[in-house]
Amino acid sequence: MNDPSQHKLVKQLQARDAHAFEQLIETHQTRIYNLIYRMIGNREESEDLLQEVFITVFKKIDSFRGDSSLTTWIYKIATNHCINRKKYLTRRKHYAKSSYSDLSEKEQAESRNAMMENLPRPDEMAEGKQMELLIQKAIISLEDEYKIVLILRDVQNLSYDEIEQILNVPAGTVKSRLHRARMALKEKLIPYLR
Amino acid sequence: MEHQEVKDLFTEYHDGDLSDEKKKELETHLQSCDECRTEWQAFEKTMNEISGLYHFAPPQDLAKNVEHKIHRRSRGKFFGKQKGNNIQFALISFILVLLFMLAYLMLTAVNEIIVLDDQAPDTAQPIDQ
Ligand SMILES: [Zn+2]
Repeated sequence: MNDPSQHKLVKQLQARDAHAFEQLIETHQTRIYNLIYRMIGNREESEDLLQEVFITVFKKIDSFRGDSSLTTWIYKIATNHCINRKKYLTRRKHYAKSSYSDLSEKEQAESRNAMMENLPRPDEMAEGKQMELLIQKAIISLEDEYKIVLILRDVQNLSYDEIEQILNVPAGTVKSRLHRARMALKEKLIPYLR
Repeated sequence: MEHQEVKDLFTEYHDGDLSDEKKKELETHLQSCDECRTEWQAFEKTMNEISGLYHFAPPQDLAKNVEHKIHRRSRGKFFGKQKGNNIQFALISFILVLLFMLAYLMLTAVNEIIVLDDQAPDTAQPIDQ
């Protein structure tokens, strides 16, 4: 942690300075909220999760050692929360549907396909907002490990270096997952592109 | 270059990570191959659409709501602000204790005077009787 202003902020946070917490939320809320929303795809759920992310940040601030930047560390907490919440939501959906929780993989794929089938036909598409919705749904339908890389890189514009640290995977893995995510998204969108 | 090899390089090509040599090879292929060129155009359009996605405003009063939740869950023990309140509480308690001690000392002092006053006639009385 070389950034002196970050060092000062961390010290204030560790001293439970409420003003520093407000400042931290102010700085990161938009990025983290958009990350969560693109991962989860539901506003209400995203807003709740956003609060939980910052609560975890504050609860764990004493364990922040400065091995990465504070922002990267917050992203890490946020992605973990997203993945856990998605698992929880899928599980809850499964229990509601049937008692076989070990069908997750197959059912996940089915629900993903269903989601794409629910999209309007290309000739029914209106310009503008529909495209936004379409891309959002297409992103949501990707598998988590591909989706997260795509969101971090192409929606949030983070560097490969930052993504490696956040996901704790080597650069080659980040690149190959990103490529697969982009190609998959392209396949889903081809009928709608002109 | 084979079709598949070209397609595998789309991400690096888009990110500008290809060597000049590879880039030239890829571009030559794209010029002569309809299949790969169509796919590359779709790839670029997709990337363009993603970069145009909205960035939504975060919910209002997030900081306040988070602080509220933390206060509730920690029963007010989390923030320094709360520590400030504790210091105030300690100060008020200390002053109150001090006041009580002072009152006690004053009362015992008064009692001693009363006792001394009482004792004089008490000891004197039997002699009188
Ligand atoms: Zn080709």
